[in-house]
Amino acid sequence: MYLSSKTYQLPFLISSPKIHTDLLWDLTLLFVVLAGLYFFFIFFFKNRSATLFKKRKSKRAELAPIISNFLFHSPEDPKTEQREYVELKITIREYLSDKYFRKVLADILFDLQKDVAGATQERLYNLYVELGLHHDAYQKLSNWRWNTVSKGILELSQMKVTDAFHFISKFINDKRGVVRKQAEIAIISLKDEGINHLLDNTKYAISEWQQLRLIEALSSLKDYRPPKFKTWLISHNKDVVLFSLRLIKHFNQNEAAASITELVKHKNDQVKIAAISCIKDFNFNEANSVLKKVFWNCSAMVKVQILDTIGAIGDEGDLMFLNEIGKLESNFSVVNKAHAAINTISPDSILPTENIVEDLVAPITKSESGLYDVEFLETEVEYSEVVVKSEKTIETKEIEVEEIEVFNLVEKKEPKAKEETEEPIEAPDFKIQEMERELNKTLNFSLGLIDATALGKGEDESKETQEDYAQMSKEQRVKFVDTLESVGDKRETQLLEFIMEHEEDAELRFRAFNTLKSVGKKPEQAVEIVSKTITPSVEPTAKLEPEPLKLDGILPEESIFYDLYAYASDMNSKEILIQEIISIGDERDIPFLVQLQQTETDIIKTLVDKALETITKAISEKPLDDVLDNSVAEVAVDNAIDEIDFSALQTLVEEPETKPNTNTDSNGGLIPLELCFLYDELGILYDENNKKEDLGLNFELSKEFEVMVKSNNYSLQNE
Amino acid sequence: MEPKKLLLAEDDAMLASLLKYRLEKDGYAVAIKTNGKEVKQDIAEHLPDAIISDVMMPYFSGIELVDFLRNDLKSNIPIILISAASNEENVISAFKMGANDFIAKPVSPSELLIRVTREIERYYCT
Repeated sequence: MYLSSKTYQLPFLISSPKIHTDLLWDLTLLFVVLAGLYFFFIFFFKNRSATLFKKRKSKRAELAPIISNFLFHSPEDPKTEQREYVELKITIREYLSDKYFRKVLADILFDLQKDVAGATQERLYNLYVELGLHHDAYQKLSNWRWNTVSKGILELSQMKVTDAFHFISKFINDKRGVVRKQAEIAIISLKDEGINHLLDNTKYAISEWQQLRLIEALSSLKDYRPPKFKTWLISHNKDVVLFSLRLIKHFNQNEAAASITELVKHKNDQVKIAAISCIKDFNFNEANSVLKKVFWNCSAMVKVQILDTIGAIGDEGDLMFLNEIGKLESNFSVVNKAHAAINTISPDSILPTENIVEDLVAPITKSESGLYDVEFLETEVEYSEVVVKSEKTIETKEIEVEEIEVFNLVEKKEPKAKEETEEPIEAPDFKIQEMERELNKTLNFSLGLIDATALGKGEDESKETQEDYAQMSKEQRVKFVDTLESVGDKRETQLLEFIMEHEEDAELRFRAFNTLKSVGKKPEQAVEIVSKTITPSVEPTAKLEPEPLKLDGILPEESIFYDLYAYASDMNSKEILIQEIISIGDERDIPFLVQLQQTETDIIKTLVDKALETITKAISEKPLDDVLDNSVAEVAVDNAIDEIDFSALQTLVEEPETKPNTNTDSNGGLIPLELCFLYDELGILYDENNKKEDLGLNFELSKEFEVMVKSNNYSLQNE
Repeated sequence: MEPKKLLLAEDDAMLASLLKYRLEKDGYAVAIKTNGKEVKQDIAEHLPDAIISDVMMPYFSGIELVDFLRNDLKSNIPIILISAASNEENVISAFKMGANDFIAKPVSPSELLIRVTREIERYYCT
């Protein structure tokens, strides 16, 4: 209603404006004139360009024989040709005073040098300089237009005017990208040492495409002897480092192993990846340990590259590390790559498990002799372990049934083998039986066939094994520890402790120590959770690969603030985030804060210190029940506590007191250092006096560690 | 002795002129054609002693020229192809069609001269 009334009140909006007819005529005239001018200019410029083209064509036709004459002139030519040559020289000098002519001549020579090769091309370059055409190109370099400068650089480099090197080299740090790139290629093409100059002086980034063009330019140089590109691996410009790595790879300069290996620790992922790629290509086996060390602090993309390289250059010694990744890493592609690497090093170690119907799996066939060699059994165990892991995630009941069958098959074979074998089993069989027993135990444990009480029953066996171990030769012990490393689990704890206490060989002791740590974590995830929440973790990788930033089994990345902090671009945002950590942070943020303490500025450090203090205080004040307030954690704690052999631990703690001279021979009455670390790892408390007596050292524990030890102590008391 | 007549089929006038100069300097009579249509017309009327042709030419490519010469005109005169696209496929197809030689660009005029001379000698002296 309102609108319709308005419509009728405002008729001027729908009526045509009143314009004077003369004005309309004037406008018509104006547009006609503009159209006429437009067409006139079109024809004018078209004709002009056509005329120029014709003129240039005729000039080229005119110049073609002159250039040919100059190029193929020889002092041995007949007199008539000599005379013709002299006349042409005079003519061309007259022409050269004309700028347009010089331009056409330069264009002709520039075009022609692309189509001719050999001696003719060399003569062409000389002719270009003899005619003084390079001066025009020099003038182009001082032009303000980027396209003219670029054209000048291109002309000088294509015509091989080596004197222009210093003029062009000024442009390698030009702010105009096109000019800079053209200059980079030009200085490389002009002189062999051009690449050195470029790598020494460039301040800008060198794109990947540009790197390829530069390599192409280098490859086209005749008799080129590349410098040692490892010199530039220490450059401050990361693009120079990247380019050097690419050049090293291109020219197969594999003597730069140490520098390349060091670059794996570079903070930039691109450099890391390039270095890893070089390591893979050159098969730098010695870089394996570094790759493993840096692995945990890398991004997923770098991790994949590292695993790919370990798969290519690694050996069976790396399988343990790769298996650990399979268990600890959460990123699917990294885990997948770890499995691929395992299969590359040891083919068919990990078999497909997705959508596999277990009923179709063929039973293990008995060997003709009835005896199993160690390798065979190891393979079977690995196989069954893999099946267990995968199936557990799907349906527990099914696995148990299937795995019982596998276990029975292995178990049944032992007596049959003995019955069928008439000859008495001698020394090597002891080892095989021992292995079988160990493996059966492992299988039973992994299948859940042995519970905590069953573990207790195994004590006698363990003592027997300890006695057997004591009687073994050194070689046998090494093999035995090897086996424990690969298939050992929690039930081997006593044996491993026995080895650590009684073994004379320090290396074996240390390996036993590592295995003990790893078996402490391996079977149940509950132990992991407990170690994360209560005790300092018994995490194998944390000790195998020294990682300052992985505290208590928690990575800095696990903090919810980690990603947010990474995106915080300014100081204020960072401060706000740390304030948030102070107010709502918990123990999972501690590693992240510790990392920040190491890397950040003083202002941030102060805040971080405050945050750490607050969190530590909060944890110490918090009762254990509050810490483990969720049901999952409680169940996990219960399970883990069930599994801890407290009597054994108590023995471990008390042993130095009751048997002070157990290791008198090797350690002068002191327990091994590794065991001390283990005590610390497990959070076992003993008084200051004992500590001093045992180790002869007085360690100062950090506040967080003390808090965790207290928490652990509290849980033990509750138990 | 009458100079051998060569037909040079090349669309780049400058290069054609340069090669012509070089070949003429060594006693050959060279005729330049800048497109395939002209070449086809010319060789249909009277055959030269040898042909040097670029592969990429307007209207009629060098490969087609070889085919026309060998299959339509049933001539076995030497024919040398020049091309900037010297990939394996091009070279093989040129030889399969019956080309006597194949030179990749950039061309060395001296090398071309030697190859032409060798092909002419091979054809006319055997």
